[in-house]
Order: sequence, then C-alpha cells, then structure tokens
Amino acid sequence: MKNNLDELRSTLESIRAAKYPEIPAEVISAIIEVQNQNQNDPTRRQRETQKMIIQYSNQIKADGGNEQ
Amino acid sequence: MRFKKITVENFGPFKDPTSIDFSARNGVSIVWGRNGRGKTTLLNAFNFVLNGTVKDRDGNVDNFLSFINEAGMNEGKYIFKVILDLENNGKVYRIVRSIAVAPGVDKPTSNNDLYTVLQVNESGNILSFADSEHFVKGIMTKEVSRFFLFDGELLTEYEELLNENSVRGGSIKSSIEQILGMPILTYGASDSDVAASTIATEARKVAQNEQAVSKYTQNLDAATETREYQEQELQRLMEEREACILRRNKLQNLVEDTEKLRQFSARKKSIEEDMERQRQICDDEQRAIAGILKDSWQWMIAPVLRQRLLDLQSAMADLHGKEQTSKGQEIIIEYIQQAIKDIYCPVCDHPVSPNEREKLEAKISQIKAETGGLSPEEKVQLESYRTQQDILARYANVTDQAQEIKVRYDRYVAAFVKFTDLKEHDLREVESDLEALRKNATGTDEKAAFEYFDQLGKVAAEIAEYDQGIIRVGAEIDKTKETIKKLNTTIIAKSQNKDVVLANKKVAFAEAIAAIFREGIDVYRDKLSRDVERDATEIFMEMNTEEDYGGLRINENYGLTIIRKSDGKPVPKRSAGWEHMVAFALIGALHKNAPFDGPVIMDSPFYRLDIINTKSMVKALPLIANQVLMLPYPGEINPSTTRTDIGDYIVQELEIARISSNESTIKEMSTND
Repeated sequence: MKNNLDELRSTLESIRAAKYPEIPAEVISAIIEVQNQNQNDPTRRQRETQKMIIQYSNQIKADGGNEQ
Repeated sequence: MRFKKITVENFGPFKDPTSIDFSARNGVSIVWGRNGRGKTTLLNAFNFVLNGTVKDRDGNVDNFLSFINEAGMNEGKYIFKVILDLENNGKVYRIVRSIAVAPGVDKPTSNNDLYTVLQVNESGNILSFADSEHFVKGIMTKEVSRFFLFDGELLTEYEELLNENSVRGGSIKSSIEQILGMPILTYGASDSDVAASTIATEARKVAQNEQAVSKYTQNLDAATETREYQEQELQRLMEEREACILRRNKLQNLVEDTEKLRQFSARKKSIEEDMERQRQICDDEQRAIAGILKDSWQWMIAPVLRQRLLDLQSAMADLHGKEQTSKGQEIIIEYIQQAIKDIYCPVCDHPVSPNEREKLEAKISQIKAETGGLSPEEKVQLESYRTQQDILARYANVTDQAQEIKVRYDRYVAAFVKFTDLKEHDLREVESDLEALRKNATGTDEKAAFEYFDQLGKVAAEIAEYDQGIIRVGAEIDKTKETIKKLNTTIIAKSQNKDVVLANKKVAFAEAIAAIFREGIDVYRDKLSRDVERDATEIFMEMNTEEDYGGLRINENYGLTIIRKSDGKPVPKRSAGWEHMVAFALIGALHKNAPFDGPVIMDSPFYRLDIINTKSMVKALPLIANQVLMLPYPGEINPSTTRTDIGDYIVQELEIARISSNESTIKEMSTND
C-alpha cells in the first residue's frame, strides 16, 4: 500500500514547474490537502478550495503585479 | 486502518449482541455460513456502520425496517445497532451507528418511522455529530467501500470495464479512480473551475450594466438557462436508468434463485434416492440375517455334534468289526456247505471224497466255534448306533454361518450410518437451503425463469437506450459549459471597468490552477494504469493455471484482458470463472495502489469458479490486503483444502450457527468440521 499522496503531489509539481511557474507551489499542495480531507463532503471541499484560491488570488494587483 | 471488532445487535438474524474479534495478526479470517444464516447481513453491517446504508438481496437500498430482527421485533425491540472498533493512523476509534424510532411512533411500520444515529469515540473522546460524520466519511467513502466490502456479484460488474462505451463501465471506472485518489485531481480541477467561474460571475455582475457587453450578458443568461434544463434532463435519465438497473438486479436474483432451486431440488431428490438405496440395503441385510439366524441352532451345536459323532463312531468300531468278520466266516461256511452238498470242490476242481467231507464238516464246526458273530443285543445296539450316526452326520456337517452374519451385519451398519447421515445432515441442510430460498423467492418455476430471461432482455435494451441518452445529454452539457465559459471570458475582456480587469487576472489565476489539476489527470492516470496493470498481472499470475496465459493488459476503463504467451494476443472469450479471477486481481492491484489501506470483506466470492480456480484464488487471498474477512458457504470452497492452501495466513475460523428460524449466532468453528 502506498498510504500517501506523494506520487500525486509530485506529478502536479512537475506540471506546475514546467508550464505554470507563476502559480505558487504552496497553493497546489494546499488544494490537494483540502481535496483529500473532504472527499465525501462536496460542499465543504468546494468551499475550502475556493477559499484557498481567493486567498492566494487576492495577492494579485490590477496593474499586473503580484503582491507576493 | 485495521478493524479490531464488529458487534451487531438485533440486526438481521442476529438478535443478541454478536461480535467478531479481529486478530492483530495479518491474514484471513473465515466466517462460514450456510445460505440464509446471515453472511450478507454481516457485509451489510459493515456497510451500515461505515456508510449508513443497507441493501437487501433484491437491491432495495436502506430498507432499514427489513433489517430489524424478527424475534426482537416481536418482543417490541424496534432498534438495531452496529459497533465497529478500529485503529487508524495510530488512534483508536469506536463507531456506533444505530437505528432509532422517530419520536411519537410506538411501532414503526415504514422506514419513515425510523432514523439513524451516529456516534464516534476517538481515543476515549466522544466527537460531535458533525465531526463523527466527517470522520466516518473520511475513512472510507461509499464509492471506495465497494472495493473493500464486496460480494461475488459485484465482481461480475467489472466485466463492464471491458466495454469502453458502457456507461456502467464508466461508472465503475469512476469508482476505481476514487480508490486510486483521482478525485483529488478531478475535483481539484472542477472546484478550481468553479472558483474561476464564481470570480467571473462577480466580475460579470459589475460589467453587465456596461453597454459594450450587454449583448453577451443576455446570451449568457440564455445559455445558463439551457444548461439548467440539460442538467435536469441528465438527472432524469440517470434516475430512470438506476430504476432499470434495480429491476435488472431483481430479475437476475430471480433467475439465480430459480437455478439454485433447481439445483437444490435435484440434490434433494438425489439424497432421497441415496437414502432409499441405503434403506433397501438395511432391509435386505436384516432379512438375510433373520433367515440365517432361524437355523442358527444347527451350526451353533455342530461342533458338539461332531464330537458326539466321533465318540459314536469309536463305540461302533468293535461291533462293526465283529459284524464284518462274522459275515466273512458265514460266506466261507456257505461255500464249504455248497461243496459238501455238490460233492465237488470248485477250488481244487475234483470230487469231494468222504474223508475230505469229514474234514470240511469239522472245519465248519471249528469256524462256528471260533466266531460266534453278533449277539442279538449287539445287533440291536449296532442298529441304534447307526440311526444315531445318520442323524448326527446330518447336522454335524452344517457350515458355520457366523462369518456370513458378521459380513452382513457390517453391511447393515454401514448402510444405516449412511442413511442416518444423509437424513440428519445432507437432507436437513438442503431442506434448510430450500426453505431459505423459498422464503426469499417470489416465483421460481421453470416457466417463470423463461419470463425472467425475456424481461431481462427488455431491461437490458432499456438500459442501453438510457446509456445512449446520458452520453448524448452529457455531450450537450459540455458544449453549453464551453459556451458559458467563452461568454464569461468575452464579457470580462470587453469590459473597461478596473475591478473587472483585476477579476480577469484572478480568473486566469484560478484557471491556471484548474489546468494544472486537469493536466495532472492524464499524466497520473497513465502512471496508475501502468502500475495497476503490473500489480494485477502479478496477482493474476499467482492464481493462473493456464500454461499459455502470460499476463494482463489494461484498457482506458481499467478493464483487464488476459494476454496469451504464445502470440501476445488477447484471449478472446473468457469463461465467467476467469472473468472473476481477473476482477479479483484488479481489486488486489487497486488496493496496492490506493493512497490508503484497509481490510477487505468478501461475501461468497467464489461461486462462479471451478475447483482449480477457486483453489488458486483462495491461495492469493493474503496478497490483496493485510486483513481479509471471507464469508463463504460450505461447498463454495472446501474447508480442509482451504486450510492447507492458506495455511498460516488463516487467523481464525468462525461459523454462523442457526439458533432458530429467525435467529443466528457466531461461534468458533471446530476445524474437524
């Protein structure tokens, strides 16, 4: 048994690093965790994912910069 | 995750609290049970405590009322309870799920009068209802649980995976991907899409009063309305299809019941014929023994008579000798007298002279003086001896029949034991099976079976129609979604509002996250496919007994095809038994590749397999999970060969024993059974 999400995390990190470097690695890890913890609770899972994305996207500025 | 103990109370045939303690050791626990004793109820107990759901043998879901123990119900006990003790990530949990009667209801008459109660205790602390629900849902989702708690019928569903266009196959594929963790990616992508859409909707609201985008917002409203209608239609088709599947399952059960009834009836007839044969042997042997015993006194006293005969013959010897000598002398005298009378000797061949005549007469006197012959008393005695000798000889030579009686008696005992065994064991069991079957079945004659087949064909055609409809409406929904997405993008792009421009960037951010998850789906799915194919092949080859079967090949639905060694081509038509083994190998591989582990509970998984394949599958059981609980019925697998095949991996053997027609219990099984 694998008993962990390492392979899945590593798969997404390869894609992010190669094609979407502007997206912080932490947001992907955070969403994986939210999804894993709330697999049978769609409302909570969707709400927490959205919260996570909005939290990170709020750091973006209108003139093109990013607050991070 | 490890199960430690499950306890059921007033649930199905288990009226009093009944438990299975799981060993701390890895391996296979076997709970034997005849049909109707409660094996499937135990599988339901796991499903109930983990998912809050039960399914009766007709496929009816959550008919809780039918799971309350009949005897308990008669005593006014309208609740049932299942308790599961387990360990997960180093913590100890107790999950208690029960059915309670709704307030104001005295005696429940429908499921509406009942409700479920859940309580979880984590290392001694009682969790809130919300936390309890969250914990239970988290350890094993309903879709994932089908790979941990399954029966033989479920294994047959996996054949659908080989049909790449089957919606049912697609649904199973979706379940498979759940156990493999794919929903993290698919829902990660869709939830990120929803986030992007929410941000876009907010931006659109800000932009909708702008003249430049009003045309697009109107189109968007229309597209949104279309999508709602399409989703309702999809929902309707899915529900209709589910109803068809329920009907199909009921019909399949009826067909199987008919077949089982035919088999059980044939078996009952064969047992009764065998019993009649044994009874006939008993009668024949009993009659034969009685016949032999009627004259038994003859051979029983024969040894005594034989001794008496010897004594008699010895006593007769002197008298007989005397009689014989006397007879010889009488002949000589008669001869001499003849010579005297004829005055001629035939021995010397010359006339008898007077001198010689004198000598001959003297000789006669001498012989008579020497041999007096038998006295009259002696003659009577000898005659009496002779009569006795004739009688004794008749009975002294009768053959001893004791051995014959012993042989016949042994034959009688063997037939009687066989008869009793057939009557008390085989006949009673098959009658019990028939009773259980008749209790469940609604119509089980051969005529009905043909009707069921006919109806099955019609239901299959309906399901296929709904499958097509679902695929068509699904494609239309995808198209509408794409239109909505484009309209949103256009509205945001054409807007001059600063907030909308910022929102546009946020939408792009969310969409990039969704894209990472979406792209990950294919990459991760490819990797999983390879891993599942490799591990399923490994398990399959452990079970394989065909020289030419070299391994398994996976398709996009995770359907597995057996590949021949000789030409590398797929085996075209596989028997139901081989399908079953492939499905089993798939489940084992899924467990190896799942991001979490847990025990496997199997109810009667071998019914489609022949003896050799059953043996192979039994041997492979320890490969699929650390903890395996198997619920077979005797005859499905052979207890003694199973013990040999699994050996040390068997951690315990229990049996479901019947207390009465509506009550069972679980007890330790004697390995002599």
